[in-house]
Amino acid sequence: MRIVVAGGRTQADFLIGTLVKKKHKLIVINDDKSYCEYLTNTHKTPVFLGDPSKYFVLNEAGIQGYDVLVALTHRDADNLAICQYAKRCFGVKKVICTVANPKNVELFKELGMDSVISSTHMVAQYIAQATNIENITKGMNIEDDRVVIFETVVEPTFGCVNKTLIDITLPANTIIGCIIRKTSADIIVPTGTTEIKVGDKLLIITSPENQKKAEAAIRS
Amino acid sequence: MILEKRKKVIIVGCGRLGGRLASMLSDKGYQVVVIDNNEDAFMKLPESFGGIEIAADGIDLDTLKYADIDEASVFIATTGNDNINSLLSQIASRLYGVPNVFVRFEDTDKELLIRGFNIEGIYPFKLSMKAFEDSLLGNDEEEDEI
Repeated sequence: MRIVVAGGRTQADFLIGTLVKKKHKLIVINDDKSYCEYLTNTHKTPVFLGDPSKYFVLNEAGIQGYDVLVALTHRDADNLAICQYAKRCFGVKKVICTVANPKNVELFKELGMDSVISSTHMVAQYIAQATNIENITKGMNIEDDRVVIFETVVEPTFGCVNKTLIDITLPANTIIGCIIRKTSADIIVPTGTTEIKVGDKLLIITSPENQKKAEAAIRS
Repeated sequence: MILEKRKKVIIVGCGRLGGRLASMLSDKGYQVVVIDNNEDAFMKLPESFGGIEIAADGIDLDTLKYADIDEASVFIATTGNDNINSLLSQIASRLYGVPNVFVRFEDTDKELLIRGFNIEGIYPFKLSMKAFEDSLLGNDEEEDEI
């Protein structure tokens, strides 16, 4: 893919390293001269010196028609301006806007950003989810929070122990997508006749509204 | 005339321009709210200023809600930062539907960010150019000789 990385310091450094390894075509823009030199030397990739929230800088960098732009400056308003130029003036297909203020996540989405990322917002979401449900080891929301994937380890007290999937009533829009069993080398993609055993790790796909119900269905 | 008596005006950024606008509109009887994250900025306002001063971050939605942005009929973004002004004007116009939104931009290219929205850009650069042109070339037919 063709990707623009605008602004940022350590996050940009890390991201560029990852993307270069995966052979993506990059345009890197940074307004700090010494950091530009560092990035160029470290990643052997050209870096444009300039403020990426300026139209002429984006224009000279040649971002026209790129697939993705990631805005990583530490000022939320700058990131919005960068992303809006990219979308409105340069036809960049998808923009990812990082924000420091978690309240800007919803706001920037309303202003047309495809994806808005705030580390504080993600931590808050993770904690909210983790306290929602015990036994949860890992979980994530995808597709703008419309889908939840979470793991749970089956304990001896769970009602689903030794039952086949067909006998477990799950809420709507919920499936057990995968079972990880210690005694089985391969992962198990269950069918209706698969039996659930103590110690199984279940990977459950559901909607945020049904997450609690799904958990209850497995436990009781 | 856009402005009518007792209509509510919110000004974010109490610099020279924001401060003068605030006191001018307040003197004319408008209900003025000025927001600036630096309290000292309000020293620019005259003793007679009858509006409300809010020392807080204007790009925080809670500040704008506190200022009752949904009741404003005029919103003016005059902070010293173009990108913040762009964001503010879009919040006012696109999210809260404030009918008259003005934004001051130093960089004339920022017009591309608000094009198509119900937001009016004010560009000191263009105004200066126009003033210089008018003064230098105005009625002077022999401009080529300058």
